[in-house]
Amino acid sequence: MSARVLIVEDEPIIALDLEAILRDAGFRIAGVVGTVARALQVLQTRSCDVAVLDRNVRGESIKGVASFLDERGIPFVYVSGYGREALSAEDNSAPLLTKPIDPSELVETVNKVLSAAEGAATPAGSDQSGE
Amino acid sequence: MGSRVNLGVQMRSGRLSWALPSGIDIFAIVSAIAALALLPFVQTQEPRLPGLSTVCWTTLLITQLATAYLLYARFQEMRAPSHLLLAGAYLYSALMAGLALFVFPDVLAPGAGLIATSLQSPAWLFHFWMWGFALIVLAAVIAEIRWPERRIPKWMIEPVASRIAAAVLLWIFFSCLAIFIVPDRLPPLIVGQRWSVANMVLTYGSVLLMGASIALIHGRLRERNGLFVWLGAALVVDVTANLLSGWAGERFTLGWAVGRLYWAIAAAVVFIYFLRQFRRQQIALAYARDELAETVAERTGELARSMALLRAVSEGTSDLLFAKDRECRILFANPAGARIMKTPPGELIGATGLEGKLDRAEVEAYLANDRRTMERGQAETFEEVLTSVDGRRTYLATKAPLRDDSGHVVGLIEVSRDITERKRAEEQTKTLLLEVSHRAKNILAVVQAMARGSAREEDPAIFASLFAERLSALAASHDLLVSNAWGGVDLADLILVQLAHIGELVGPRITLDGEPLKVQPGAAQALGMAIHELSTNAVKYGALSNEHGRVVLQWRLHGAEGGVEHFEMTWIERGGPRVFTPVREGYGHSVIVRMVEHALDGAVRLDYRPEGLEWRLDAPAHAVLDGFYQRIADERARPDR
Repeated sequence: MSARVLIVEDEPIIALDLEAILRDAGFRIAGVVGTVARALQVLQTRSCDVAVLDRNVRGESIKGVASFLDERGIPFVYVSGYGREALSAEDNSAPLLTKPIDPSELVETVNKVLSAAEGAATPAGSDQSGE
Repeated sequence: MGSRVNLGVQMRSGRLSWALPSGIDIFAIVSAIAALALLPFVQTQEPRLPGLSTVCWTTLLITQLATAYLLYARFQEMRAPSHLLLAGAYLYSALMAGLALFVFPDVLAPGAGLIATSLQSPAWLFHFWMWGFALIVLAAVIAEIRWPERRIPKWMIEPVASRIAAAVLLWIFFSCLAIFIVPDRLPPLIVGQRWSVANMVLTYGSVLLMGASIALIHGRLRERNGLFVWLGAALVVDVTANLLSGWAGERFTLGWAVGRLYWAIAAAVVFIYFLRQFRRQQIALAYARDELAETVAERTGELARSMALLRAVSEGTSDLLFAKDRECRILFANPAGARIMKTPPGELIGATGLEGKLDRAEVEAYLANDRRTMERGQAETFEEVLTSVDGRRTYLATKAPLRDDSGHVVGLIEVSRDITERKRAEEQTKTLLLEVSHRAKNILAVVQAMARGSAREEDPAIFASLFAERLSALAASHDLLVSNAWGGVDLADLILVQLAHIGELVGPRITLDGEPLKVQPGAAQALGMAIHELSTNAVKYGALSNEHGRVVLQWRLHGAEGGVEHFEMTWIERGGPRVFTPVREGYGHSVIVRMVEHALDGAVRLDYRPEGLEWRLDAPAHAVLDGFYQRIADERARPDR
């Protein structure tokens, strides 16, 4: 069963691109959202196995989403126009890809965090599909 | 300055010692010639002057004592053995003159001497006196010739001087023995009133001794020693006196009387030499004092000028200038520095900044820099922060150690420049560059994503032209955003910019209908892209692909459902070729549906009706409009185009 990905990205064209790249790589898309509120809403109603997060969405910090994911042991990857120095120390656990991104690197990194999380804990929920 | 004065004196005495000896020599020669002229008359029994001996011996006593003292003072200064011997000779002569006052007849009382009864005693005293003086003087002259450079060590001055004095006194003691106890056993020197043969021998003997000293002085010391030249002159006068006395051969004669006068004169010569020295020193001192006063005036002027310059610099600059001591206490501060220290000028000297007027932590920080500079002993530049009268300011402080003449660090000097504005500008530039870089990267990412999307979903044959069109659409929106400084964009302007490639159709075939609204930058980009895709699709396949099809683009805000106002936009085509639902959805479809939904958090309905394509967007107004429900106050309807 392929993993479900949540994409949080406020730049619509890039969001479309991320969605297409991940879909082409065989992931299922749990949601593509552009705000922190929408992201939390999606996470509460649908299940997902991994997330790709923009660090800053419409001037709002992604921290809320990141800590929500951390609590549930859902791995994630940062995609940001800012370098690593702009992230706070606590965010350093997740890998960071800087825009413009390389599609194969994105897929590889998402797979890596997924397998690392599966090795650390029981695989993320396969209870129900929200699609 | 003391050494300068001394040097002046020595130079002057050195120069003058050429002129003066010739003067004193002339005096000595004239005296001698005058005496020789008297020789035919010296045996005359007149004049009889009652007080003559008293005056002469008293003069001798006083002037020779004074001369002995001056010679001893000279010896203390120069420490030459010859000077000490000469002082001894004069002391001896003075004491003998004193003794003579008591011994010679008719001196303190009429008739015989006060303490001597024999007529021979004063005569013997006289010869002891002359021989003793002549011998010690000869010793001094020889010492000066033999050891011109010898100096007695300082610690030996007093022991040697007291020994010489003791020797002089001892000699006088033995002289007294000879004069008062033995005289009757010695050959008589006076027979009646006349000199005996022994007397003549002793007289000419002392003349020879003095002559020897004169010869040595003229032969060996003439050119280099003023004191000895004058001594030579004194000896010439002494010799003349003895010659006159001896030639007269008898008491109370003219020769005898003039001889006594000559002795008194001779006794005064060296004394006068010292008086002249004194006068010369006074002149030299006065000269040096004037020179000194001139130099001081000159230096004071220079100092005043450089002080004025320093003051102008220190008061004219806005930089803070400080000088501090080893304990970081202020020694000097210019007005700018004093102001920042918040301390009145009277209390500034000695202040460190820890007096409670400034922030303690900030002061401790700059004091640490002060100490570091003094410990390292080299100039350094620091960035320091100080909150004072102008608020919190950043200073670039250059500190350099202050050293004394021996090179020890005794404090520091400091120049501080307020660089707050420069720092602020630097920070701004940094932030701006970061923002520019971020935006550039973002644009690049968007372009890349768009390129990938176009390539993924479109026919490779038309990819290049599609991508180029989309890129210019993106650029057009971007330009608009930039000209509005990334603030809200007027929706009608945005639409016109995106329809610019078919601008001549706006009005005749494309109807725009909606109220003036300002949209957010993100929404503007998405709407711009959507309108671009819709219009190019209409031109290629839809209502604008033939000669009479029409498009109506409408937007409006409508009913607050549960308090949420909605933005609605529709693109309706009519009169074009018959529409079929496409078999495959291209990237354009993704843009006008999913991208717009995502960007505006809304819903898009796309209907491929046979009579024409219909695109409807419904999104919450706060996701689209700039500053939430901000509508342009002017509700005046814009003319439809």
